[in-house]
Amino acid sequence: MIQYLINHVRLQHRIYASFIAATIVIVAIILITYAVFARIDRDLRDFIFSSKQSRIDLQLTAQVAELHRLSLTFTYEGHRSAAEQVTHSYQNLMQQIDQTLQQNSPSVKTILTTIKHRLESYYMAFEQLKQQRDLRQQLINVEFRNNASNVEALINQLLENSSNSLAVQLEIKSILNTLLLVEKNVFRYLDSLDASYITAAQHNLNHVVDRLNALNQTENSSHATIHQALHKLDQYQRSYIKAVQHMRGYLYLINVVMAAEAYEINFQSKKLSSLIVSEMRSKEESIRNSQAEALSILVMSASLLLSLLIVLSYSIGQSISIPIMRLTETFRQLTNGSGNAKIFSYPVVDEISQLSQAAAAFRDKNTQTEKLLTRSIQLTQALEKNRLALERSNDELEQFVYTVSHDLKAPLVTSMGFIGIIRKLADQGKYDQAIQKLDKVTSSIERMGQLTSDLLELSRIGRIDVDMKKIDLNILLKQLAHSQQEQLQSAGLQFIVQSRLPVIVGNESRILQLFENIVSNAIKYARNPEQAPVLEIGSIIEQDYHLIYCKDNGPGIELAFQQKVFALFYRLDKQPEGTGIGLAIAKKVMRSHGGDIWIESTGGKGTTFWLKFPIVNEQAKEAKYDL
Amino acid sequence: MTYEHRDLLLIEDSDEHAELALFYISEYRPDIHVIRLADGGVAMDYLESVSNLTKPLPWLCLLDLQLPKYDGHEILSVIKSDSILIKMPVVVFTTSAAKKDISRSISHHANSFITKPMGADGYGKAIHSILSYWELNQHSLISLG
Repeated sequence: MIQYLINHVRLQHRIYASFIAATIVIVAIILITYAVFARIDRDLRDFIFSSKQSRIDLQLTAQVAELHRLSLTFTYEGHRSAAEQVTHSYQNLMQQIDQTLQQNSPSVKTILTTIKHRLESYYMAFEQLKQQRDLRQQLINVEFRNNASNVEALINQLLENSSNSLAVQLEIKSILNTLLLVEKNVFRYLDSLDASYITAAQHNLNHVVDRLNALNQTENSSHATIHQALHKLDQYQRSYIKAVQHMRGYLYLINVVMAAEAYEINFQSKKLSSLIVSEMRSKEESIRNSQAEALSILVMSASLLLSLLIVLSYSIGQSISIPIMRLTETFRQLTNGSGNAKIFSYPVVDEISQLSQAAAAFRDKNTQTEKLLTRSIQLTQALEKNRLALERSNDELEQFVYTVSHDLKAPLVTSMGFIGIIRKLADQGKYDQAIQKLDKVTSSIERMGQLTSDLLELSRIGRIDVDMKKIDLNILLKQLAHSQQEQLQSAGLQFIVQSRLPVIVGNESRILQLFENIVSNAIKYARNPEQAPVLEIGSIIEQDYHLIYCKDNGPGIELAFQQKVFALFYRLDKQPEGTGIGLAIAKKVMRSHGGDIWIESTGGKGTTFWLKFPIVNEQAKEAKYDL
Repeated sequence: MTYEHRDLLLIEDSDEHAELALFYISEYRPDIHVIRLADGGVAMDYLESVSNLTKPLPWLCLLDLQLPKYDGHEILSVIKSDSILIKMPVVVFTTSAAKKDISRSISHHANSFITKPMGADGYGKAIHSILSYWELNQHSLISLG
């Protein structure tokens, strides 16, 4: 993922992506939290609603109890205001129930509807009760009182009409009292509802009837009145019995029907409250469950999102820091001047790719610098080489001048010295001796001439010889042997040239001079007490060079002098003729052909001159075919 | 004027120069015995035998610089690093007048550096002067004593 980010997403986009991811995660967590809390809130609302319902239920019970109390008050006390209150609270209750009915579960609704019906029938019973009570009241207030006052009036009339006998009058008064007692008994009954008062009233009434019947037999004059009174008494009795019946009717209503309804309502409301309680319990349970569930969802999703965010931010951070650290390492290497510091490929175009480009430019510069440095080192080395060559050539020149001045002066000193001697001898008259010395002067001057020409020759080497061509050494040496035949014979030197000598590139006259020098050296030193002097020339190949050997069996050269012999004017021996320039010329010829010359010798066992010529490609091929 | 027997070591490769020297030495001091050594190798051998005490220490040494095999400088440094040979004065007598040769010889403790003169009488005068100068020196008391 980190690699993907590095290779495909721009740096800025990566940073934005991390912020966006963080924002998304935070928003998601907020949304989840909101959802969880909304759910908890909904459950809580449900719960609060249920508790409100239970409160309504309790109110209902209380109101029904109050209603019933008011009904009883009305029943027993007959206050109209109580009846009005009953109606009012009934209406209130109905309204509340209707309101509650609109928003409830079916089970609650059923119960509430039952309660409503019960309440309606209760109220109907109350309406009946009210009617009955009104009827009874009317009965007592109108009929009963009329009958009572009629009977009283008749008995008072009877009293006035009766004979003046005191016993009769007393009897009538007693009857009247008893009658009043009946009225009293009835009212007492209506007040207390004690049945004994009714029994007493009945007994008293019967007593009045019996006594009136007895009086009817004794008092003839007042039969009509007595009959009337008896008749009225009968009506009186019927009216109060009717009132009692009414009374009993509404008492039945209140005590049985309405009480039953009230009880039913209470029962239903209890049922309702138990229902609500169980509902609340289940709701509480569900709230608890859903809370736990919601919390676990919240925790899980939040931790999941946070870990996702951590992974994302780690990846993005790494995707930013890895290329930067790589670049840092690259730049560290680059600042050390490295020209091959590793620059990681970075395909996306952004700030880091710009940095990478800068690093690449830096590296290119470094490479250039390295190249320049190498070039400058090469130049310095070449310069040093040139300087050394110049120094050497200066030294050589100085050496040359020095040697030349010394060796040229020597014959001068000689000739001048001998001239002095000659002069002296002449003064002394020794002319013969003087003339003899003249030869010395001549020879030294001749020698000087020889030196001068040799030096001229030396100075020409490598300066004038630009005419380089292929030289077949086989042919060259054959010619040399032929031209030197006389000298070789006189020295008794056997000259052996091996076949298959290489073809080299060089200046023919110089190479010829070189071999002439070697041959003449061999002739000069051809002194061997044991065997006949021999000079053998052959060749081998070593790496890129032809090595030509010129081997003699002369006296040899000690190791100490093997280098010196190539120096200008250096002579190993003063005996043979020579200017000491020959080998210096040989060395210079070999150097000017890109080769070298050196000596291999063990004292007394001959000398080998080694000549090294570089192989030109064509020659190399030929030489290989030859082999 | 009494003459003692004196050996003079003439290290000189050029026969002509040697002849000149011998001529003037015999003219001026015929009693001096000249031992002429013609090249560096021979000179080294002789000096070694002097060092071995098999040959007597010469009174004076005339040393040319340009010699076959070993040159004058090498011979000089051998002489001046030997406890016996060092007592022998060495006059470098050469055609060279190069500063390089002079300074090298002096630093190798040459007792004298004289360039062979070019004039017709110069060679003889030089030999005379050298011999008469070294005649005045008392070094023979230790070197021959």
